[in-house]
Amino acid sequence: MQLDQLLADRTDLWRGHAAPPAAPTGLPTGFRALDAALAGQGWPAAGLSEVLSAHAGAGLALLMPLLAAFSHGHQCRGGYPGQPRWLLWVGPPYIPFAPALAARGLDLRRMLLVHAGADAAWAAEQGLRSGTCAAVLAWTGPGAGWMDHHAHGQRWARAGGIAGERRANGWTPAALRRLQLAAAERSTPVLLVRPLAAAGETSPAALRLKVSACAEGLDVTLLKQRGGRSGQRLRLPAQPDADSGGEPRPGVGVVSAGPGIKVQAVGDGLPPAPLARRSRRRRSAPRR
Amino acid sequence: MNWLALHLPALALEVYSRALPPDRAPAPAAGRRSYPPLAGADARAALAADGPDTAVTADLPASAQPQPLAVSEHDRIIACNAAAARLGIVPALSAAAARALSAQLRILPRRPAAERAALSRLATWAYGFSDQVSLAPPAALVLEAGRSLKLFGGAVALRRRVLDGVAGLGWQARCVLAPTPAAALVLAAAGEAAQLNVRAGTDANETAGAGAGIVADHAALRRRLALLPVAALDFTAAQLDDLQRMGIGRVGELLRLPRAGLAERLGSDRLQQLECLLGERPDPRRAHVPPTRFRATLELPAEVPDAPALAFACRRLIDELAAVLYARQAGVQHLHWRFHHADGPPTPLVLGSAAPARDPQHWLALLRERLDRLRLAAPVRAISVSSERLRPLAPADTELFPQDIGGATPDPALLDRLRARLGWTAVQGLAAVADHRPERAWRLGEPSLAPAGPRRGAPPAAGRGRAAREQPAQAQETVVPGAATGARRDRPLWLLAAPVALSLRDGRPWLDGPLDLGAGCERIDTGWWDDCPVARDYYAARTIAGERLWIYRELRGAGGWFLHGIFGDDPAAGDGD
Repeated sequence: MQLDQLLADRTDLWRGHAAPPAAPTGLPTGFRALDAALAGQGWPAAGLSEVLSAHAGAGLALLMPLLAAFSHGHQCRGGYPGQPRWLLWVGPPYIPFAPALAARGLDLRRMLLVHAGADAAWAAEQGLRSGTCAAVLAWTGPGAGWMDHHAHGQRWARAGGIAGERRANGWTPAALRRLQLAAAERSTPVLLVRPLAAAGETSPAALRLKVSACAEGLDVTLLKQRGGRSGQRLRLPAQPDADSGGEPRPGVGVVSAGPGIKVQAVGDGLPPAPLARRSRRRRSAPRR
Repeated sequence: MNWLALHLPALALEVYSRALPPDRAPAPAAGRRSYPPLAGADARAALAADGPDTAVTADLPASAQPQPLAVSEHDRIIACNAAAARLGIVPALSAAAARALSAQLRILPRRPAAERAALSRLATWAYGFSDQVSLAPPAALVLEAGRSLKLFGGAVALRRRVLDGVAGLGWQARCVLAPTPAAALVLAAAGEAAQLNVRAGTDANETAGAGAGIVADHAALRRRLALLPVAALDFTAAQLDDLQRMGIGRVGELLRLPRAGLAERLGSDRLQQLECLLGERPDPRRAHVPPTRFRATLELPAEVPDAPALAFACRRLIDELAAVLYARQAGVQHLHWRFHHADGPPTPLVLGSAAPARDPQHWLALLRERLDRLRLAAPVRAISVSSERLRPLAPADTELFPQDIGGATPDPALLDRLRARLGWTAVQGLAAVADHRPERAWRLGEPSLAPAGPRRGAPPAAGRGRAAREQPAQAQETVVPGAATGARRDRPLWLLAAPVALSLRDGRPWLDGPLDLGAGCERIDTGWWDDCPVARDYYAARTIAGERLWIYRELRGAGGWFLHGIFGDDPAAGDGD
């Protein structure tokens, strides 16, 4: 029984005969179809996720419901409701347009824009290790950083190669690995927006998906996910589903579990006592 | 035991050698520490205790490894370090003789000004123990300790704490508590010589163990003073000769003489001095006033060519700063460092923190980050640091149950670390501004996590009323929710830093194919009153691939089509709900 318990506590262990975990361990994406396809029914809460995208708009649109939920103090893994933490944006390719972000529910005061150039991977890791960031977003493309655009004659870079990613911004495979480890250790999600060319590379990310804009909205392909199937292709609506993201409302995005359902810890390596306390708190959170 | 005297026997040397890690080799002469360094503040030194040439020396260039050092004044050696003592150098040797003994000996000139400054900084540090600190040049401090005894848990604990603190700052010191300031100073200066004499005498219990260095009352003081050689008093050489001819070798014998005769032989001021020593005459002292800024300079015994090797020396200054800040309950937000070279202007380095800080680890982490990439024009001879006015620092609130209640303000260390490496402007916050011109509808700002209020969105924007008033009718069909804060649902997620001109084919804008302009446009025609007039028709266009772009047609000047933003989602959906 104890062995069973131990095995059940680990989500990095996939047991073929077992049913998929009943309790959602991920952070809701805001898109019902995507939640259903993901192993944790959402973004990995403690790990590296990669969004490969040729379209800067589609990449950010996919992340918006999650960021909006973070802005409102929900999904506070390792933190507490009401404790404001940063949303670290490392090397955004263009200017994140404040009026649009505010209208979509982002608390702009929590945004921390970092133009790190060659130190981008370092900056992302610092954000993770500080424990003061709710989530870390990083754009790894060679043109990442709109301040650099100024320097390069405002070039409109639509897609980038993997070589530039490595050379220019320090996103080596080793850096990605460090980031994945740090994310797991600090129970903080890291969302990496990479160019499409990175699809051919191996990556330590817990989740990789490809997104592009299409006429109906977003076209998402799951390239890899830990503990779940991959290869599905999803058409997501242009707007997040009304009841699970987008315009935030109370209760949205709380990682909640019903009574009697064990909330699983996602490999954050904490001793059991705080975990028990945390899961109790989560149970008392309002259910939607 | 109301006065605590602190005597720095090696001040002249330590003004230089403090920049080096402590030399742990056994020293035959004076100059060996008899107490352990402060655990937290001097962890590196503690590491060094295990292996003298591993942790510490890794930080320093070979030229800064313990090398024989001596300080001379008027061509006489007055102090030397342990490495020099091993070579047979002793104080009072002439400089020429010392050079003859060893070719590698470095003889440095004495720097009275640096000693005075160091003493003054130490007095500011000692302000944490007493509000009445007096300098006793050349190398001592005396503080009123009577009122501090209860706070620090008694004389023994206070003395231990002072000694540990001084050691942590890199000074050797002797510390004595006595009923009068003059006696405390004399006993501290006499140091081990006095202790030896006492041990030889009858009064063994006063020096044993914890009671060392503490003179409880006037009777004990008299006994202790009586055993001192008269040379311990600062009499002139002629007066000491006189006393010797009179057959008087110890202070006790001097005190037994009739006072009137003594005044005639030595002068009345010497008699007054003796009376002050015994507490029979008031001994007012001028209190040290701590400065409102922190300034310190550290001379390096050898030139240091590369920046990372300066970290140890800088740490001395940071520890000192932290001790002063702690004593004053203050913090600083900026530190101005200067690395002085043999010639040419000093290399400046400014460290900034997001909030007033006093944690030495925090400052050291920031400094290391900058030292790693600092380019020095020439080897460094001296380091100086100054702060702006010290700011009061409220101690961080600690919670009764720190695990359950998160602090409202996160650690500013992340901001500081990022800025130390990337530059101040590379880390920014974002805010929306209520302006219809996209270029003016956002701004960068100082990031701050203000507690989230009920109103979400941007902080109040400047000129909000004006923008609303000057709003041309065609640009605003409906009242947009959130317009007061600048939030607009129908705006793209990304804005290009500068609009990109689109090519035209058959009179239509083209980007990898014809752009579908969709239905309707939004005219933004405003800003004619300032330096950024705008007249544009904006369209939410679609590429063939389905990507939504925000493009505009320029209505002023040469016209043309431009790409200005990128939508991620459908700008029309969700509008107005």
